Amino acid sequence: MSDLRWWLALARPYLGWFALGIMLSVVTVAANMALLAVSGWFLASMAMAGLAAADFNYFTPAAMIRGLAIARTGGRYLERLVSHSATLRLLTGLRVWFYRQVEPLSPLQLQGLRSGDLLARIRADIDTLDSVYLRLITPAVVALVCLGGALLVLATYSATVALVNLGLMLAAGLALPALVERLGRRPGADSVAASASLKAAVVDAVGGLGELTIFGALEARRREIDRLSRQWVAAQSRLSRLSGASSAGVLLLTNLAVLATAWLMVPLVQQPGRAVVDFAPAVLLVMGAFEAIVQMPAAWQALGQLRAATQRLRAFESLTPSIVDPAVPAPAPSRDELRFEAVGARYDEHGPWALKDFSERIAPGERIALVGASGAGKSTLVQLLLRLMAVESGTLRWDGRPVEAYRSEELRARMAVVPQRIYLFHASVRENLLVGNPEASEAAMFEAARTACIHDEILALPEGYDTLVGEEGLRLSGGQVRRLGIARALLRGASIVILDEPCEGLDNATAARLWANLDRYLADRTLLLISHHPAWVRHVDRIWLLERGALAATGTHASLMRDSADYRRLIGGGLSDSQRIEHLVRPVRRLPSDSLDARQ
Amino acid sequence: MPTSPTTPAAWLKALSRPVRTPVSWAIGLGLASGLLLIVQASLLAHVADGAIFAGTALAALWPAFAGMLGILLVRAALAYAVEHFAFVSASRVKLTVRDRLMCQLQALGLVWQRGTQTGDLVNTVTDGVESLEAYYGRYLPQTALAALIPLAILAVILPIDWVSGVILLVTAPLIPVFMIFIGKGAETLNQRQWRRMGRLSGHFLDALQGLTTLKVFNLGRREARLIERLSEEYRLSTMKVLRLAFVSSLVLEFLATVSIALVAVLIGFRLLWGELDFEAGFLVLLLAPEFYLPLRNMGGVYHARMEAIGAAERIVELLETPTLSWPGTRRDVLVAGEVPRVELRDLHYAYPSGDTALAGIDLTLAPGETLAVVGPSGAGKSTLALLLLGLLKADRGTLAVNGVPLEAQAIDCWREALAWVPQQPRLFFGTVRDNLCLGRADADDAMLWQALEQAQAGDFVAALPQGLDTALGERGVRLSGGEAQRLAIARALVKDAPVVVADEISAHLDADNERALVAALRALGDGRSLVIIAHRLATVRHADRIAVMDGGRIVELGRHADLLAAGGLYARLVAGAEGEVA
Repeated sequence: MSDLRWWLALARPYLGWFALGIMLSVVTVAANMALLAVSGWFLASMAMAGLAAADFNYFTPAAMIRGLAIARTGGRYLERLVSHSATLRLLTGLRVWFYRQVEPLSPLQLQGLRSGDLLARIRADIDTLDSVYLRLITPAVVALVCLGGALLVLATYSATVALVNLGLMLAAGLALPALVERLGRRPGADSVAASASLKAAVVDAVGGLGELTIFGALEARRREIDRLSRQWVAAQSRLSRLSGASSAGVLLLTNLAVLATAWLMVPLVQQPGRAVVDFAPAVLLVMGAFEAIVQMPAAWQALGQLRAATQRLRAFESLTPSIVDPAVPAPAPSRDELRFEAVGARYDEHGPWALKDFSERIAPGERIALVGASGAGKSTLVQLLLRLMAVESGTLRWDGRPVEAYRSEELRARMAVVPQRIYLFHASVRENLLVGNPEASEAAMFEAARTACIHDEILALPEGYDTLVGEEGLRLSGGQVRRLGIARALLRGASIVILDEPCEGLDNATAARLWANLDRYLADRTLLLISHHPAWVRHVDRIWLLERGALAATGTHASLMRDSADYRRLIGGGLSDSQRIEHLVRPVRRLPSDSLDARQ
Repeated sequence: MPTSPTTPAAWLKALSRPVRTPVSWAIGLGLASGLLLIVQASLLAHVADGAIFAGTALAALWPAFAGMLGILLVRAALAYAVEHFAFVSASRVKLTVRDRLMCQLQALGLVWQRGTQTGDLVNTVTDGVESLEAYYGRYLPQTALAALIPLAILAVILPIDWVSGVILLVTAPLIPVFMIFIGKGAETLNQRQWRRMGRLSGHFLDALQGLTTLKVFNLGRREARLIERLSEEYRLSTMKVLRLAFVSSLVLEFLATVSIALVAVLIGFRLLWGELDFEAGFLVLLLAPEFYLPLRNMGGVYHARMEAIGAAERIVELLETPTLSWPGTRRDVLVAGEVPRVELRDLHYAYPSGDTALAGIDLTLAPGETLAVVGPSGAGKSTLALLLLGLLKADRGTLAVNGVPLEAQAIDCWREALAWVPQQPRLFFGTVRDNLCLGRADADDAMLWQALEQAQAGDFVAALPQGLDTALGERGVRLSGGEAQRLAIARALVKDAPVVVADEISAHLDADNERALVAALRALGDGRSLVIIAHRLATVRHADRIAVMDGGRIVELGRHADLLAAGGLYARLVAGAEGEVA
């Protein structure tokens, strides 16, 4: 029930619409019940009058029948419009709510969000929350109001009839669905688990198609998938039996209500002083009540799903952002003098230090290169600057003040970053570039693209700057994606530029041209470069060689080449850094994972 | 498998043939239940007539009540059985289609798979197949019942009250006609709206996936407003469409409800004038809503069909994608325990886009030789590896094993002689042991540990929480790139195939990891023919020969020292990019 309260709190702004939709729904169902009952009464009375050759005022009931038919029809139409509008409003609200919940979280806390699987579940969960109104609240309220009304009407004939119907309706609308929901939990969970295993197995089989082929394991894998598929069907089969039993039960109970009503009404109406024609409307009213009951099993199911969905979504509510802006932020820094004072940071409270006791200084306009094997702490350092990760020990000062003193946005506004994994949104090239600076003019955008050596290639795309890219858009090569990422960052015009492996996927000629352009662009800016490309790192003022979260050596390219074997191996040991294997069917898009991978 | 393009609707229909029996049962039993409903209604009308007009006492009416109770129980049982048969037919189809899809995916193979999106494929095999259920479980039986039950009811009503019968008869066909008439236009609008809805939720997921990017560019808050604005726009445009789309349901509802009202009023008057007796009139009133019910349900069922057709479209497309065929049958080319000689003669290959990948490769791989392949990206190294592995077919030229072209051989024979170490090996969900035994199910622990030791993976596997039984893969322990590759080398060692193709990991490794990898690759080359696509000087130095590729050709071939002395592309590559850039 607390889940339902939570939902109601979220839905508060739309409750007026929901109330209107429910009201119309009640009118629609009630009109149908009344239509049947009045028709029955009308028929019986007309037959009675016909037999007695008496007069009968048929205008009123005939008009009522017409009126109810119109109320039913119009009510249904309006009800559908109102409830859809309300549902869509709520959907907007839920999405914005969820986005606001996760937006302040750190990349590490959001790591799970990168998997398509979890995203799909979140989408499904939000849809579930959205359908709570249509599938749970509306049917429940409609059943309550309409059946309550029907019972009151029946009670005017006989309390016994009303009580018997109350019992049967409770059984059909509450007890049976509750029982079915209870019994369905296990097979339901089994079915979800079986479908997840099947999905994982198919992901595995598709992703490992090459290995399975070469290692002769295709057949075994296919059998395994067939087995999992059968397992899923077996769980579904239990659910289907349950749902069959449930619909049989509802049919039985509702029809029993009709029989019981008829059975009780026969002697009742034949008593002297009772209107014998009442038999027909009473029986038909009970039949009309079916419509309100048959939706109840689905409503119970919705209640179960609501529980599961809220549990998952509320888990995000409980995460506290690791970085919170100060209540009274300091004014934005006036110069970009950065000072690391014994800075330490790690990805989880008890984990190993990703960076420890790191002390260094970056002067405005300085060019620094970070070199080190993966896990050395390069990305951690960048994340600290970007305020995506908290400084756990020591102090990171920006223009003399600790970074915690500023609003994160003020600091981020001074940085332009090209992460190792560049995320392109499913939008046009233009929109993706403007992420760097939504206010930039077209000329500025072209200029940034030219600097990043991608302008001509963009113009050669099918629709130039309006070509759709990203997950479902045109596939770009790794090198093109990288240069788009660079152009996007340059467009920002920020005073600190952070480039993480900027020449990966680029051929040497392009990389050289790119450097020449950047060199000009960087004239009075600070550069933080993560690269193992000798042609690039030789141009910086200082190189920090990182090893396991600590500074192993600093110096220039020349001095480190001379003095550090580790540096030589990292820079010159391989045949070349640019020789990543290109997949055969190129260009293959990288996984749609986010930038700034938390664990490098 | 049909070769001509099949329409999804035709394909769905063709698939229903093997499940004709359970579908027929579902229809037959559903019809039986409908007929019993008519009997039940007649009994109730009889009771009503008796109670109101004949003054029959309850005691005299009990046979009717007993009959209704009996019918009720049978109908409940039938409802259960109908659900059962519908489920059986749908699940049979699902199992068949899923297996067929997996067969096809496996036949299409790695190279094809790399050009597609895994997520889309997985969705098709799992949820896509799942949405076929509604077609066999609901659409097929319900459409039949929507035709049969109203006819049965009409057959009862017409003889007893032709006026009502005519009203039903006239309005009933209008329902499908209107559904088609109004539905067609609304359907297109509706579908456009659904697509827009899909785009919108795509935007939402996109924003979540790219959240960090939005954040570092200070767009986090703007995005929330954007989501709100887009959703609001979507709502307004949807409501515009729905106002029209719901008109169709309005008309349906109107036809059904007003017809019932009309029937009731007309019966009433004829009762008043004594033209009809009450029992008949009441029966017609009871049956009229049941007459329209299956027809009204058709709307939802039709939607189920649309969904199934949508899913079938993608499934049919997959099933009809042409596969690589290896018609060869010779199985006598390879000799057990002997390393074969592999010759490549004038191999050509072009990407589907037309770009040349290989432009005439001539190379002989002597038994037991370790050959390192180096070259700039796009030189054709990976293509060469895939051709060797039989995962790709050359456009021209021959690949001969022991002098026999691969085309003449049974491809599985050649694959048995092969092992592969990909650059990013797939570690399957399962234990370390499962992964190692991929190519050889009967390997014992001693063999596995030996392979792990040789692959320099013994230490880290021993340090895993459950050793060989530690779970790997997406939901298991995560290994670093270097560790994963050494595990893949161990996997290749376990298979103990005479020819191995290895694609060395290109990422930077720390000194220890790199040393281990080089040692592992040397162990792999011991007593086997080994082709390494190399990225490390340390690896290349140990090779017997080095093939330097550029632009789809082998431009240099020889030993490290000789090539270095020659001062060609290899010498430049070794010098790193240092001399080449800037």
